[in-house]
Amino acid sequence: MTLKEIKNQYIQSKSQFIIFDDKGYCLDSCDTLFQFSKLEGSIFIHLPFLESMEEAFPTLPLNEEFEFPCINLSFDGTEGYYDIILKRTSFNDDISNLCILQDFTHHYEHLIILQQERNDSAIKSEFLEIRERVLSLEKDLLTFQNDELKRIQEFKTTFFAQISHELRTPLNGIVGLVHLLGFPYNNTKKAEYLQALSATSQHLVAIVNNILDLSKIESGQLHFEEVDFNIHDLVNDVCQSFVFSAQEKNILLSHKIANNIPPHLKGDDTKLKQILFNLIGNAIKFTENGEVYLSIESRENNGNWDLYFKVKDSGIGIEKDKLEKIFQPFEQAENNTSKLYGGTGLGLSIVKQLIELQKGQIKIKSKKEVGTEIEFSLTYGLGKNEETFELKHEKKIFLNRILVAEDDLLSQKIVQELLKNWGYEVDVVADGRDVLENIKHKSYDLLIIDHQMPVLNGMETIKIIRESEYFNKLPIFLLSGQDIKNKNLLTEWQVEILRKPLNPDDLNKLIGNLEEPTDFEVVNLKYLETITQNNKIIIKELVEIFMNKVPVELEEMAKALNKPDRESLKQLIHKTKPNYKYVGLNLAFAALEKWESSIDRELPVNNEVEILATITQTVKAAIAQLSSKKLNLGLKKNETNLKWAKN
Amino acid sequence: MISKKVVLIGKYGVGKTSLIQQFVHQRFSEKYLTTIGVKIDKKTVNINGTELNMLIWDIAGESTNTKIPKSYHLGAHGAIYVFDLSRPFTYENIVTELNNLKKLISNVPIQVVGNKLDLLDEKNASQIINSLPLEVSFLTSAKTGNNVEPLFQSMAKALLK
Ligand SMILES: Nc1nc2c(ncn2[C@@H]2O[C@H](COP(=O)(O)OP(=O)(O)O)[C@@H](O)[C@H]2O)c(=O)[nH]1
Ligand SMILES: [Mg+2]
Repeated sequence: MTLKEIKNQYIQSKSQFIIFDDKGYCLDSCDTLFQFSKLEGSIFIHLPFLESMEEAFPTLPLNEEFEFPCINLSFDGTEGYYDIILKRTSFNDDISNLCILQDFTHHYEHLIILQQERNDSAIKSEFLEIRERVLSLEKDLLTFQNDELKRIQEFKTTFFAQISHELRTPLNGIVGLVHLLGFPYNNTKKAEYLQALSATSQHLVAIVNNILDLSKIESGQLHFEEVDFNIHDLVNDVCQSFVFSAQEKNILLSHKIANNIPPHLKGDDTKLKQILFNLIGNAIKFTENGEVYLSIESRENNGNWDLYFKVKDSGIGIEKDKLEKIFQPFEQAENNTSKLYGGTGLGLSIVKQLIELQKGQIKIKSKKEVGTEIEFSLTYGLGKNEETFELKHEKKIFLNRILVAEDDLLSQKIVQELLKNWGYEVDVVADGRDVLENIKHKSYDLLIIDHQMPVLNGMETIKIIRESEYFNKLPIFLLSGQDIKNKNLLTEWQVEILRKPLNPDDLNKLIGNLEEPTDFEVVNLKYLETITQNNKIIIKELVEIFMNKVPVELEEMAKALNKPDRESLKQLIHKTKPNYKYVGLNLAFAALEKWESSIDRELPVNNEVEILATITQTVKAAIAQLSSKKLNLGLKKNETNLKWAKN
Repeated sequence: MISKKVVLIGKYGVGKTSLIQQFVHQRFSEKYLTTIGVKIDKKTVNINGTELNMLIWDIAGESTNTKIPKSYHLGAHGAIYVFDLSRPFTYENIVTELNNLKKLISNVPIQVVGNKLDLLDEKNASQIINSLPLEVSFLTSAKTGNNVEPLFQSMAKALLK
């Protein structure tokens, strides 16, 4: 065999040539691999590969070879991998299709193993890559969190350093001033020191308010109040607290409130005060030998008033590039502007937030070395003219001796001084037991008692006093620093509440409201409440009976007095007597009882006219009390008791 | 009878062979047996009374389909592009891959299929789909058979249009 023959034999044994028409009918086949020439019908049925190309054959360009490497074919139970060539060609003067199959099963089966390994490891490395990506993302996240923590930490440190610095300055001032006030030879300057002390304390309060507000703003808990206030008083208050520092720096501090602004507005006065305090404070801080001017103008807007505020100074001004940052919180705390612009840098950012949270707007204009102008607008409702209370005390003539029970020495002193200044005699005790002891031996016209005291506290003491027959009429004011739980009880006991720290105004008002005690018995529904188990309807009925029947019966008694027959008087007394007990007129009840038994035992009663007069007075007073608001039982006033109540 | 050629394309291991096995023979194997070259399966479907021979080309997946012989696409009437929902690598370049595919076979229906749905919960799956810049036609599981029949049915209908 020649080499050529050997080669031909080798290639021949592995390849097959098939020629078929467009319908798949075999025209010729060498049948080396598959016996196609003997097949009945189309070969497409047996070779899905060719079937799938059925529609493509007529479209193939003539004599062009299309190679399909590695096609898996099965035929007659044998499966293998073949490289296939398809070609549109002429055969026997006709256009037919040529398919060349070359068997590479052996070669490809070997390749499968390699490919399998390749794919497996590729998938494995894919997963490794994902894991790495996740790990690196986690690392990034950790770094980010770390940086964030560091940033917050740094911020906190700067923040607290600034805050404590800011707090320490006024605190040191206060300590120093208090010290100065203690020197006896400094007497002439005392007023000045006090003024400075007041300004510095107000400044401190403002800073603390800023810090508190900031934390409230951050946690979304800031609320705005709606109260009536006087804009003139408010502006005066704020400016007053800067008088001292303005003088020190030779600054002319002035303000102008436009005439058309109603003096009484409604809104959050505390927040407005804080805004003005911050802005004027800043203006003064950055001005030397100049002017700070506050002006307020306004425009009516659907029943509300849009107020336009302007705070203008002739100070050092702010550079343009720092102007935008000036309202950002802590911006200053983080760089050197803090030294320049002072403070925590909280003031202005809070001002901005306070204004914007109230739907207002703020603008800043500034020129280096010329000054700064801050404008803002806020809307307020029309306020009511609340009675201004002058702290001029009118001494009550019926009020002479007052007992003060308070364990805190400072508070004791304040109340005592105040009352003495107003011309009252004051005794001071430090706990409830001493109160009870004192009132037994001396007579007092008023008791001012602290809520929290050792041994017997305020409420306990008041309870004992109100339950005693002798002192239940003593007017009592309860001093308290906290909210009181049993407000109802206090109303029932007719005890007034005084807030601590004591505002002299409040005490003044309460004393002003005190009414001269009557000599007549005070009605007390306690007995009725007990026997009716506090049934308001029955109480009301019985009280109405008292108010309507008792006056009539008194008139009948007056008529009966003149009759020689004592029996009808006795029966009248007997009938009317229980009514007195119902409304707590125990003395009158006792008097009537005594009178009745005297008649019964035929004893002479020589001052019957006077007795009846006293009882009549008592009843008049009682009806007046019963129809007053304090015993609000929803009573209908009818003719009789109206007439009586008026007398 | 009408015969139509459908090619299944997609990276290795996404479940092309498994989808065809499930569709043609209703079986599934956990074992991964790499396909090389092409294996053609045939299934006759009946669409509203019309019998249709689907000749499905299971083409061995490569890392990218530019490595696949172009001749494989010759005369294809439809294509199904499969990716594996559990492997980002198989859908990272999906837009490029599909654009390449459209250059080779124009004007035929192409369906994009996310396979191995059984390995993910619904939330994850919809997250992936929403992150893709194209419409996914079917989410399938060759393992449970979920959505496999509808996928091929809808392809068959598209082939008849
Ligand atoms: N869990 C799950 N595994 C699948 C699914 N489809 C395929 N697989 C597995 O994925 C691997 C690759 O599948 P195969 O069909 O060979 O992928 P091909 O390379 O795209 O043909 C095999 O181990 C299959 O068992 C599926 O829907 N769910
Ligand atoms: Mg496969």
